[in-house]
Parts: sequence; C-alpha cells; structure tokens
Amino acid sequence: MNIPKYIKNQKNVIGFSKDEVYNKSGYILETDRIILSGSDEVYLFLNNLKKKNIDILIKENANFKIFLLSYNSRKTKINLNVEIEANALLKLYSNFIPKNKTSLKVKREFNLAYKSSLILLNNITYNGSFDLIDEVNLNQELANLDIDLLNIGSNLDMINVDQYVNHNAKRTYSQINNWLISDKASKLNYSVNGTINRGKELSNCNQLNKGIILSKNGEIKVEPKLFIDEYNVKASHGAAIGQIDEDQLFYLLSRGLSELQAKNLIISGYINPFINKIKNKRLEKQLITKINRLI
Amino acid sequence: MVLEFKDLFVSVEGNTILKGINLKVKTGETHAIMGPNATGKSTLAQVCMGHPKYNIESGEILLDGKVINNKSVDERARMGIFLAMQNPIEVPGVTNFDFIKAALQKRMKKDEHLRIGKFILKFEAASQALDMGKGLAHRFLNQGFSGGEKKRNEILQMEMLTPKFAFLDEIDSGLDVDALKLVGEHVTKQKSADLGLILITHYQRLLDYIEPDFVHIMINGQIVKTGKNELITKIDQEGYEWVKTELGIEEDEDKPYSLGNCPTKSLV
Repeated sequence: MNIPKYIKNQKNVIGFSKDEVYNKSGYILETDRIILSGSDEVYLFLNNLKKKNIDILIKENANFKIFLLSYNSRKTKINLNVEIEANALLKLYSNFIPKNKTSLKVKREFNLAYKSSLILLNNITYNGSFDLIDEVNLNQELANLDIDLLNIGSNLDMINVDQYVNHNAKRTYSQINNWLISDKASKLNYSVNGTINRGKELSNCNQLNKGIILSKNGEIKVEPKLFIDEYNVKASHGAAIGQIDEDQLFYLLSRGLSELQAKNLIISGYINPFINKIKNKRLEKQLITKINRLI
Repeated sequence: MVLEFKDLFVSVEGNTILKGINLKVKTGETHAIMGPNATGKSTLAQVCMGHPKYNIESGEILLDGKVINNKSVDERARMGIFLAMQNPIEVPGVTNFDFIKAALQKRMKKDEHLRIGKFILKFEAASQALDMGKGLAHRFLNQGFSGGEKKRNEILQMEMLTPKFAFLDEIDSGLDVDALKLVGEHVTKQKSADLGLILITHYQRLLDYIEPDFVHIMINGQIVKTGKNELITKIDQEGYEWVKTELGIEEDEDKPYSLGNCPTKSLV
C-alpha cells in the first residue's frame, strides 16, 4: 500500500486501500473492525477507497488518540462506526485530503457509554464536494463530547455538514465549536442539531458557530437547532457570521500593519485555537501550509 | 518634525464635527486638548489616524509640511503617528507578542532584521514597568483584559513602536488612582525631543502626572482657547461654562451627534 512516509514511520499504523489492509500495530483488526485497548496513539490511513465501512471499538478505560487521514482522488463513501465503552477517552483528529477535486461522503456514528469522552477535531480543508454527517449518541450518564471543527472553503468548494448530538441519558454534556471561513465562491452549509430527550435532566448541550466570509461570492449558512424536551437542562446555541471586523482591522492598521498582514493576522487568530488543539507538529504544519495555499 | 492641522472641517454621516481646527504640534512638545463631551476631541485623533468613518470636507493634515489627507491608516502609522485608543479593540487568537513583532517588522527596511532577543528584553521591561504581570506576551491582544490593562497595553505599544506623534485619547478613563500614577509617570519617562504628545482628556488628574506645554480647550468642534497650566486649574475649579461666557459661545443648535460612549468605570 502506498502510505506516505510520515505516516508509515509512526509506531501504530492501520491502513485500508481498495484491495489491501495494512496493520503495523499491536491492536486487533478483525475484518474491518479495529479493537483498541490500553492507552496509545494510532494513525488510521484510508487510501483512495471507493466505499468502505469501518468499525472501531474503544475498550473500557482505554485512552486513545486516532489520526484519521484519508487520501481521495475519486468519488468516495465512508461509513465509520465508533463504540466507546465506559470510562474510555477517544480523541479523533480527521483530515480528508483530496488528490483531485472530487466528491466525498462521510457518515460517522459514535456511541458513548458511561463516563466516556469523545473529542473530535475535524479539519475540513477539502477541495471539491464534501458531505459529512456526524451523529453522536450520549447513551449513558456522564458521557461527554467536545467537537471542534475548522472548515476553510475556497474556490468552488461545496461543503455540507450535518451534526447530530443526542443526549440519551441524564447528566450528559456536549459542546460544538464550528469555525468556518469561506473564500472565493465556496459554499458552506451547516445543520447543527442538539437533542435532549424527556427525562434526561441535568444535561448540558451547547453549540457555537462562527463564520467569516472573505469574498463577495463566498457563502456560509448555519442552522443551529436545539430540540429540548426536558426542563432541568442547560442549552445554548448561536451563529455569528460576517466579514472581517472593521474595528479590529482599523486597530491593527493603526499600528502600521498592511491590510493584507492585518487580515492574515485576524484570520490566524481565528484558526490558531483549533491548530493548537491538534498537538501534533507535523499535522499542524501540514494544516498551516494548506491554509496558506487556500486563502 | 511637525504635525499640523490647517482649517480642518470633518463630518461623519453628514454631521460636521470639526469646524475649522488649526493646531501645530512639534516633536518634543506635549499638548493637552480638553473640553466637554462630544466636542470633537476624539474625532481629531481618529481623523489624524485616518479612520475611514470620517470625511475630511476641507482643510489639511500635514506631517513635516506634506499633506497626509489621502494616506492610508497603516501608512500614517508607519510615518510615525500613533493613537492610544479610548476603547482598545480585542483581537482573539492574536498574541501581543506576534502583533507587536509584526508591527515592528513592517516598519523596517528590506535589509533590516528584528533582533528578537533585544525585542523580548524591551517588551518584558516595559511590561514589568507597567505592572502588566507575567505572560503578557502570550496573552491574546486585549482579550479578557480589564479596562486598566487595556489602557496600559496601549502605552506599552507606544513605547515599543516609538512613534513621532502620539494621541492618548482619554487614557485616564478606566484607571484607578494607582494605575493612573503608573501610566502618567511611564508616559512622562517616554517624553523626548523625538516625540510629540497630544493628550485628550476631560479632567485635570491625568495632567498632574504628565505636564503639558500647551493646553487647548475645544468646544463645538473648534479650539477656542489655548494657554498653559493656569487653564487646567481653572477648568478643574469652574468647569467649561466660563469659557463659553467669556468667549460668547452659544450652544450648538445642531443636535449632539453621538460617536459612542466614553468608557466608564462602575462601582460594584
């Protein structure tokens, strides 16, 4: 399998291509099911698949960081199902990297058990058309979710993201932060849904969506939605979309920065909090390089 | 160097705010502009900095004899004009360090390089002198700063960027007595033959620490009186009514036009 060197050199690598499976890790791989226990870091590489279903099981008390990297040069459909058992923690960073402008559909479902945690870091700097559906089920008490998503659209990119968070148990927590930038003629459509069912009291469901449109033809549409059927909960949602703040721009210009420099600084200030969360120098650098190319 | 305003008329959204400002400031001088609310003091500073909101109807702003009316904001800054703002803006995600470093680098000639070690030492020393606490360099620009911290950060930027002319727009608001003394003394230390200071304030208290060479009173968009320290004392004791009576100034018939609120500090 043609795996990029920087991935191949990692300690734990699991790769899937059209007709090959690669496992350089001490973890069990049953057909398309990965079972992870203990505490470690794994690179999951998807090489130009047409259609793929993958299941991941994070065992009880496990603590894992997964870097999901997918190279695509043709129409691709990926389904990912992740079960996180009690007291386990999964931090999943995902980046779908197109080799050509192509269409990609990804559907992911996460099921969280008692006191388990999921941290999703979604890097969407995809050239082409990308549909992402993320569904997170907080099925048992004290399950908690943090999603940080950075989407930078450029050229004619068409990005559609549907996020569903279902609070299916009491005392569950979720926070979604979407950071969106649209440049040139890119279109970013987001539907962000949080549901707290009746009886699932003391749950906490929050959504924060921020968008900057850098061009005349760029477009960002966000629908933050909350479906709450219980009184004793905390919930918040909001979307703030606009152009670069004129006051911020004037402030930076008044110190002698050029307009381009000032705008770049404001944008880097916008995306830095996401980059700082990746905690992987190589992938951080890769993202910065990509962003500099895009906008 | 000389910064000069010649018969300057300025409007915003059709309302004329400055109605014929004439003022000359040389490097090495400290000028105080005082006056009641909404008389155009901050407008003068913002116009000099090139804020796009304001429209120069007539008149000129000159820097060393060259008209700068059409210069962009950043060009004016690099020519040596600085504005310590009344309401410093928060820029999340951008650290103080990166911001000031970028501003300094932009001022340098192509063959010059910023000496980072020297820069850090100067930054840390200024930060300490202004009692900004440790870690200022890595804090996001003005984000989560108290009112006083924001004002002190403006002074720190002034020190780092070494402008030729600096407007300090109500730098005293939001500062408690100790912070005011600290800021006042720090600004006084920066006074030099290469820096012209224009202090905009309502009150005497800032001028107790930064002694001006000239005091101007601005009413209804005009500088109506210029003097020295004796004016400050009289304003502190009697307010501005005596100026209006003495000069026969009548209240502007136009409705006052609000450009926003001056920052205030409330007691909890």
